[in-house]
Order: sequence, then structure tokens, then C-alpha cells
Amino acid sequence: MSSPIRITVRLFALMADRAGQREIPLSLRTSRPTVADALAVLHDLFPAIPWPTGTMLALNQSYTTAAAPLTDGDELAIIPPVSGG
Amino acid sequence: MDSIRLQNQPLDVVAAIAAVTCPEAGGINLFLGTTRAESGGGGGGDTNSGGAPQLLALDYEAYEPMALAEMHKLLAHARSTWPITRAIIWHRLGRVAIGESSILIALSCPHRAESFEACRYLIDELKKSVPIWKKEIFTDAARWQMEK
Repeated sequence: MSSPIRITVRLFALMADRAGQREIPLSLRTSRPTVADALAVLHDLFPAIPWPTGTMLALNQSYTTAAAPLTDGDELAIIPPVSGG
Repeated sequence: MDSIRLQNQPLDVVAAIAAVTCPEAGGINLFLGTTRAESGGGGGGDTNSGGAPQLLALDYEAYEPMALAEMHKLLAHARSTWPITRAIIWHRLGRVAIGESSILIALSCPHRAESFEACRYLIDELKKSVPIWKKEIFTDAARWQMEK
């Protein structure tokens, strides 16, 4: 067994309001975990988080996809549809 | 020379123009996005009290380090496309009242046509990719834009 990978999930706006948290530490025990694995764990922990159409993902402050691999210490942000300007 | 920032204070138009003014420029383009009065409300249909809820203000939140990084990327792309001499992108965070500005983009170029194009590109792309969110504060409720 390899040791778990620890990451931080960042939530914003509606998602943070509904989860009642903005930063969620996650431990991932799957070997070579991806963003999709982290999202599955997140859904188990917070099944009620809304997931608006068009929600994007960012890894260490750059847009990414669900297939991206994770490493220890990564910051995964869930980016609901933006509305700046 | 470029200035990109997120700020709680009101946007200073005079300072922005001064910051992008330079001898090589033949035109300055400045865009201000302002908070527009609206009715509609965050609750569902309020038909009995006569008068729809009014929008009071917007509350802006950002994923700050990534928002700044994305704004720098947009400006770098704009610089690779148009001959921008100086540029500013300032965005408000926190409470922005009706009539106040939430975003200021100012840039100078040698010629006016390219300054219009570059400014339009920056505001259009910022609205698509920069992680900033607005919450609408109505007289009766508050709701995130994505809840519409």
C-alpha cells in the first residue's frame, strides 16, 4: 500500500455556501489518483453540493480536466460558472 | 508598467488614465462595467406586496491568486495580438453599490482601432474565464448569478 495523497479542495460562491466550507482537506488512497477520484470522494462527503452546468476544474490555479493526475499537496478548485466584470 | 489587481476600494478613473498615458500612444480606451439597477428579486414571485424586489448591490468574490493569474494570461495574449503600450485591469471585490463600477480596463495603443479591439477582447474574455463571482443583493433576498 502506498501512503495516501493529501490534497485541498477549494469551493467558491454557491458551492461554498451550500457546503458550509471553503477548504476541504481530502486523503486519497487509490493508487495514482486523478481529479475524478477526488471528485468522487467529495460527492460522498458532500452529496448536497450543487453542481451548476458549466462548472470547471482548476489544479494549482490552472484550468484542468477530470483525467489529470494528482500529487501530494495539490490544490483542486471547483470553479462554478464565473460572473465577473 | 501593466497593473492588474483586485481591490475593495472604488476604482479611480483619473489614476487609471494617468497610468496608461504615454508618448507612444495615439489612443486610450477605457471600459467601466457598472452595477445596473434591476428588479426581479431572489425569492420566488412576490406578487402580493405590489412591486418587485429591487437590486441593491452586488457582492463580488474571487479565487484571488488564480483570478490574477488568468488576468495576466489574458493581457499577455492581448499583447501578442495588438501593440498595447500600457494596460490596466482592476476589478472590485466585496460590496459594489448600484451605479458604482465593478471593473475598469484601460489601455493605450499607437492607433485607436487596435485599442478598441484589445479592450473589447479583454472584457469579453474576462467574463468567460476569470474566476470571479457576483452575488446579487436584492431587497428581499440574495442569490448567486449561477442560480438564475
